[in-house]
Amino acid sequence: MATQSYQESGFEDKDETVSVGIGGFTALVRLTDTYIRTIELPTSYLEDGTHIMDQIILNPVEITITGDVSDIHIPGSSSVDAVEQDTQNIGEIGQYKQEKSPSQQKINDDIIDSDLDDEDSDNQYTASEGLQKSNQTEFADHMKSLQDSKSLFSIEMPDRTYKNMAMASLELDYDNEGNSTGFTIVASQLRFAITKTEAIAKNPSAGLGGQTKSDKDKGTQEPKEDPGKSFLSYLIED
Amino acid sequence: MPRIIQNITDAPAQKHTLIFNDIQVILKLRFLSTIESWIFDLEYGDNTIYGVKLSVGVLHIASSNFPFDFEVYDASGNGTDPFRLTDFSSGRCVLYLYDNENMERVRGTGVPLL
Repeated sequence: MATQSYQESGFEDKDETVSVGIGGFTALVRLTDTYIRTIELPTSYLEDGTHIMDQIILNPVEITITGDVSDIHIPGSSSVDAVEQDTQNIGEIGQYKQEKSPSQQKINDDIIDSDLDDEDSDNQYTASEGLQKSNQTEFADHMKSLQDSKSLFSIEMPDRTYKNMAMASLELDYDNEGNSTGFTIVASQLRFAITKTEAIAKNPSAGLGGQTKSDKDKGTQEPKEDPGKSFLSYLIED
Repeated sequence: MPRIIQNITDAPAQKHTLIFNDIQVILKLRFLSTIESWIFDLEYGDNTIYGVKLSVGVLHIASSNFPFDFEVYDASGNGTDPFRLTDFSSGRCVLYLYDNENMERVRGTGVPLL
């Protein structure tokens, strides 16, 4: 029976519409993303004619992510990033607007003096309202459960999304001063080989010469004594 | 006198039933082309021996304590074991059966019959 095995692909292209983040959690800030791939190489001399592919062993992909999680998460805006990168002078102020007239200034002051900055007002919306659990707690629970359940998840990297990642190490630093959680996650990729099988061929080898067939029955016989000599007949002679 | 087993053809798997002196034996001969050898399986009563290679000038199943044995005789005089499919059918090799009386002579004593 012929068998083949091959590896399933360990990564996929990033989906433009859905962000995978780390195992589905995206409300975090990634300070550094590190991609590590090591290979075991032989240090001893190889025999002449050795098949090189057999001597080089690829280790699984390892990804290290350090970052920060706090209770307020504002996703970055690509347009703001684009503007911040552009530090060139985009213009020159030629003329300033006129000062406000007294009536315009009064409208201005009315808005500022309104109830909006009254802490007891119902118009206020604080960061913790509307959330059941703080973002930091959610993050910690999510990452711990990924480890405890020993499940495989996907990690989004700048170039592509890596599948079948298992969390090798999780480090959480609870910063009480800044009210945030720093984290370091090391994840390793698990690789799978798929076995394929083929049906056995009907006549696998011509050289077998009928050996795979069943016995030919030659019937019953009563072997007759032979007057001629065999090699060992001296054993039974008088 | 040893007995001759006849009717061995060039079929690579053949089954012979031998009857002599109230003993019945089922002999299965097989030819293995990859290693150019003949081997045999033997059934005597409830006992079976599998995969004994046929060689010239020796008794094959002495340690089995059966009351019979086999020998191959090389008519060409070379002393080569049966290695071709046609060795028996052409008559180059002859398969002899030593029955219980012969083996009593060889061993010096009898063995239980099944």
